[in-house]
Amino acid sequence: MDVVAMVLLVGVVGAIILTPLFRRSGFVSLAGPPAPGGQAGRKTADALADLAFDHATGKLTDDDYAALRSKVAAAPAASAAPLSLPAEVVDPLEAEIRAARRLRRSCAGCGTALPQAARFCPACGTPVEGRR
Amino acid sequence: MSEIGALAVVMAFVVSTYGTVMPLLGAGLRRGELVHSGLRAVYANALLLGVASTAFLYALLTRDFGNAYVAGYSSRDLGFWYTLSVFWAGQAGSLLFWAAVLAAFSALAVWRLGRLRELIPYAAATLMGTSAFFTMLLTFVSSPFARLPVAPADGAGLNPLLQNAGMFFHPPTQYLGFVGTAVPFAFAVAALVTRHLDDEWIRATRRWTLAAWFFLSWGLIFGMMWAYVELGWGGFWAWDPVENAALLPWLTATAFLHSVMIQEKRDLLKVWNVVLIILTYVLALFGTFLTRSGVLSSVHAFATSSIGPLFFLFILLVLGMSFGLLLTRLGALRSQGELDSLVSRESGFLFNNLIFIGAAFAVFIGTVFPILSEAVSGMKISVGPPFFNQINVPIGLTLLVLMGVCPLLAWRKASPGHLLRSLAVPGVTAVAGAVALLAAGIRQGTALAALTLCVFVTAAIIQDVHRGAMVRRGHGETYAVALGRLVARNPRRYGGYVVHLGIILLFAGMAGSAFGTERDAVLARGQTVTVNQYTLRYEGGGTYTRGERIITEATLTVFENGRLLTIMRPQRNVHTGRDEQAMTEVAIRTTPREDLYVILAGMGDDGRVNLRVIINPLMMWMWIGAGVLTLGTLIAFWPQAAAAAQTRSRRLAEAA
Repeated sequence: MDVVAMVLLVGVVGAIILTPLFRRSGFVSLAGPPAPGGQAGRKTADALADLAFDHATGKLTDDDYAALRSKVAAAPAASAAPLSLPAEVVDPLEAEIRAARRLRRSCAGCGTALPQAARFCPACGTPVEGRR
Repeated sequence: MSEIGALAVVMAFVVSTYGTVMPLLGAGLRRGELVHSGLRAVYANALLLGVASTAFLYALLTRDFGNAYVAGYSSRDLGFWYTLSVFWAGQAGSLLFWAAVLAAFSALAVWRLGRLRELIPYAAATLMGTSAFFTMLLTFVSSPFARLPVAPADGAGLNPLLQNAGMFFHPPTQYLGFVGTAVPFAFAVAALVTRHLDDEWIRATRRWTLAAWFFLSWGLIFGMMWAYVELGWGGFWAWDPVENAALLPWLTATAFLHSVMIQEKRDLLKVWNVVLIILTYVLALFGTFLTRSGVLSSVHAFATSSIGPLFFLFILLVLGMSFGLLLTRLGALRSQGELDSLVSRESGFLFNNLIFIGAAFAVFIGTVFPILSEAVSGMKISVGPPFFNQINVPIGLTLLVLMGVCPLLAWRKASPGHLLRSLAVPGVTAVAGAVALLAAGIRQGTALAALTLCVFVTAAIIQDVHRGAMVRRGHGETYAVALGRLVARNPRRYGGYVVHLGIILLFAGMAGSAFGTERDAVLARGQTVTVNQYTLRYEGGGTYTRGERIITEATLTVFENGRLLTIMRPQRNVHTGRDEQAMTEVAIRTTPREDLYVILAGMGDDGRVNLRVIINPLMMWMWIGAGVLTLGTLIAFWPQAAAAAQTRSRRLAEAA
């Protein structure tokens, strides 16, 4: 009984650990530290919210508030460096995006890009072909 | 069943080692399947240690005395709950508990934070490296499944000191806290290795840190409860080395909880935060080490053992590797922001950090002083409570001041005029409080200062919450709704305030012990002793046997100002099974105002009793404070309301 359980334990653990080795999975890596750009916007918003709250609860004078606010709003939210990714990561993604774009339909009447599930053009009302 | 457990432990060691190597190898060779397999090892490790723990529990509950550990710590007359607590009563069991909790936490962390694709291989390797060390100890040094050649008819039994509710909860909570710090530590290491040194790792592990801090807090609280009711010192804290060892990571973790906010908000203190989490984790290991090594004599002396040197090496290894890694990354850790003003919330937090670290340093030096003095002069010199009190009382008072002032400070730059205006109400309330305390007869300087500051902090917190609610009320919400939404919008800040209120109550209880009264008396039957308003009359006593215990009990009638109040029965128990170990069972009568605490120090052959009567003011508020602290942590744990995210995008649009 115990021996069966022990064999079972070894088998289960082995299966859990070793199965991924037989499936080749891609290794996606963002080389280098990530650009702070994505966080900068959120941080600026949070900082502005803190300032507004501190001002409203009487911890900041109007002058200090105005000065800090303009300082924070002008902060380097825009200076976010673009993501630099290795080609083997970017190329398949770019290809996928291009393929998706090709599938994107536009209105036969006015040329407006159509949402995926649209039956009528949201701009001019022309019925979308192939959809009833 | 025992063989299965032993096998599971050995396999856990192998799997942990595999889980340390594979993710590193996979990340280095950029082979996804290797990383994947390494992460699976984290889950497998949790499964194995789960099996091992189950097998161990089975041995305990079936009283399998063929198991050396069960025979050493359990016995037939032990009740269900204490039989359960035998799990962490001894070394091998404690190590298994540590390893199992670490395995569960690691699996949870990999599951929840697996989305951090860059960090996870290194974090998993760090966690599994720790697991490999503990499972190595379990496999080669201290096995919980070791068998005796002949099973005895009964076990040696559980140390009677450990047969207390506080002791049932204290060790596992303490371990949960210690082990919990491993997760933020592992992610800090991963952030260092990958140079992802923004606040991603801090945000990802914020709740882990909070949970670890919470368990560390409760580890201390349960320990204090145990010391108070079971050790019969009359107090809850004695600056015992092992108590200090539990306090140290709490101090650094508390500093960390505050300083991470500055990195999140201002991109400052990056190096500092990494240093704090490394220190916290190393001190958690140090705490386990002190409890288990017997390097310093302490009330935990029952836990001494032989794994000390190995443990010490492991701590040195962790310390050396993490600080070495940190040094190579210093360039990348340069902070981008700068302090706008010296009078701001940030600098308040910074100051708070310095104080916590100062306290940790002082406690650390005081704790290891016997080792240092032995190394230098060849004599073990212990520093006693006076050293710790002298240093920590001013530190505690300064922390109280900061706790009151910080909520009144604005982020970035407080306007001095407005700050003074904000201080008016708490200041006046504190002065009124001081007058009331003086009128109530409190003359002891430290206690008076501490309690006055408690009033100050409470007033400051209430004022700040009230102002926030009034701002929302200006938008047309009723006060109750405004209050609720205020908290829901920023549960972390207001949860923090509630935690502060809990800490205030704890401080009040500690301050209370400064003006307590203590009196020793030898009483013959019918004689009385009077302490403050209480008169205790000794009605008689006796000795009887219950199981292995010889119980000596005194019966005391307590009068308050001449009115019969209650009957108290302090005991002194001698456990014949355990080297005649004597234990005091104190009698305590608790009221919101004070505890009447009676210790039976001994009973003479002539029937006279030797009593120590102590009045501990405000003790009940310490335990209430612990409850408030729990509530605050739960609030801070709550996810931020979705509404806050909307406000955020609105503000961004406004600013653009």
